[in-house]
Amino acid sequence: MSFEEQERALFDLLFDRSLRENFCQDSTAALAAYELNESELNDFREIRSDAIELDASMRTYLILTHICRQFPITFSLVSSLHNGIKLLKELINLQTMRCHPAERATVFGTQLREQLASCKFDSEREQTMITAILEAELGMALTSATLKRQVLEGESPSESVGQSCADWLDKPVKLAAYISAAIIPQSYVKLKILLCPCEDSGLWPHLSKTPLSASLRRKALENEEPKLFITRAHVSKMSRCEPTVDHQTAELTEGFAPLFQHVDGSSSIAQMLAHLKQAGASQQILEGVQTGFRQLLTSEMLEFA
Amino acid sequence: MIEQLPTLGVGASLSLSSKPDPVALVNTAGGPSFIEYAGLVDDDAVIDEIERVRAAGAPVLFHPSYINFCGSFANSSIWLEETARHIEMVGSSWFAQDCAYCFWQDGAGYSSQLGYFIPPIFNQASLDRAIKRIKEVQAAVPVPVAIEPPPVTFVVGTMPLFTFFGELARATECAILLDMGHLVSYEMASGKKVRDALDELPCDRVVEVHIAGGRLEKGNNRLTKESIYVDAHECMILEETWQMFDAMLPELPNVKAVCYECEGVNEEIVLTTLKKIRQIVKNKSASQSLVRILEDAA
Repeated sequence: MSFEEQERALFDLLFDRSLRENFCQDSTAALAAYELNESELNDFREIRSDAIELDASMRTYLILTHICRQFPITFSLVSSLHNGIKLLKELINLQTMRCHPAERATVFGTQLREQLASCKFDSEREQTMITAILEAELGMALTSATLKRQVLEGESPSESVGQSCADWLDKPVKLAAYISAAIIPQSYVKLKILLCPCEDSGLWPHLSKTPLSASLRRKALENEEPKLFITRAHVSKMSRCEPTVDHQTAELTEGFAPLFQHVDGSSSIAQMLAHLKQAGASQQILEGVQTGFRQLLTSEMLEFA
Repeated sequence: MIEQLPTLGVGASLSLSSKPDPVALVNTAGGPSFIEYAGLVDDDAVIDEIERVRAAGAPVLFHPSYINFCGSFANSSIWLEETARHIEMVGSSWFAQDCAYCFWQDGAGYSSQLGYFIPPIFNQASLDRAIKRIKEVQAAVPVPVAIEPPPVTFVVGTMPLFTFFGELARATECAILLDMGHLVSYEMASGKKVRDALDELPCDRVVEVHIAGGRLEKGNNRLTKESIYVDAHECMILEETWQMFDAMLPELPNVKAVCYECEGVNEEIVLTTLKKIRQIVKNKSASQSLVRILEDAA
């Protein structure tokens, strides 16, 4: 019997759909699990059931408008699946909403990944492709949350500095901080142009009214041209309250992925190129790989160990 | 304290850097005499726009949506420090915000992270927490604090709205901001008339009045089919809201500012509505300083 228990019940009513549905049927029975006395229970009897349903639905819409900004391609693709919009709405639940705001997008994305495993797709290939895109966007959400949390806790984020020197080929390299990498079926930039007709906070309002058509989804995923999609989260605007985190991105050919696994601070680029040459790689491949490493160094995604 | 606050006249609440342009409106005949904005906590995000508005001759009021003025979850000292700095930088004469939950537990942030405000529970225990929250903010900011009953689609608790806010204002000696649409929303959500508890409200503490657009959603409760009010600034002001404005203005002797919240409304409608608001204020307001400032400007 406490006010804190009333607050808990109020929050749960807004973000727990089944509790709310039960509440609308029988408010006393629905709140039986909360330690509320008669007077505290009576406070909840003031609630109009149709109004709390409307409130929760408007709240879900607005929260999804924000989360959609971190998962634009995933949201667009999922909207085209059978019950896809419903699935996204259902993930604004207690699991998502009880965590710290900085972590909500990642908790949401993690739940979505689990749910996608049981969704109906045209083929296993299509499921793999959509899951890979979600993994890429979830990776960005994770690095963003980690960096933001560190800044809010007063830690200075590790600053990458321009990696450029004459002997760059010979120095051991490692991944910079806040990096995520995933193999996606096509260029992220191209997919975004193809699948996201609106930017930022306009996308969810659009998709919730006009979900992506299944035919456009099929067409978009028809051809595969896999890319290694690498991102680095960085603070674009420092603040003691609300630091803004953006991502720098790079796209390399899929063949780069096995090499990327060896970027662990012990090998230099020259050593990795030598191994490739020994394995029979052509001069053209070697030049491509060297250019890719150079690109990652200058964009501060790699740094010298 | 309240008597010493400046009278700002009839103004508008707008989004900075978007249409309608606050500076263009201020420079137009019949435009707002002050600008209110729902800015970010960091003043450097808005200061250039604020300087433009102030250079055009209009004072500004900072009206954010990230302070918990109620509930068990304390405001972050860092956010309060930045708020104090922001208020000082922009020269906001008072600091007003809806009394609602903007964040939950330790997740300091804007109310948008919860969709929008979660309304307070209207009972004594909640009132005690709200007093604590308001004092916490008063101790941190350099200007008087004004609390605003938030928009509600539903109500938890049986304490009448004006009893709750009256007690709060007396216990903390804070000022009050009344949004006419929010009062209508409470009436529709609770089935109670706010004016039934008017005696409980220290009307002399009301320094600011808001009026804004809204829309009515059809209710489908099995007992009542009454509509549900949704705060929607881009919409037209509802007749119920104009009626509340007419009814409340004669009760409020110390109003210093009437603000039309009109983010997303086109310039022509803003100017027409400001004209209508000024006329009603002249005819109905009990605030002599407010009426005088409008008559002087005419």
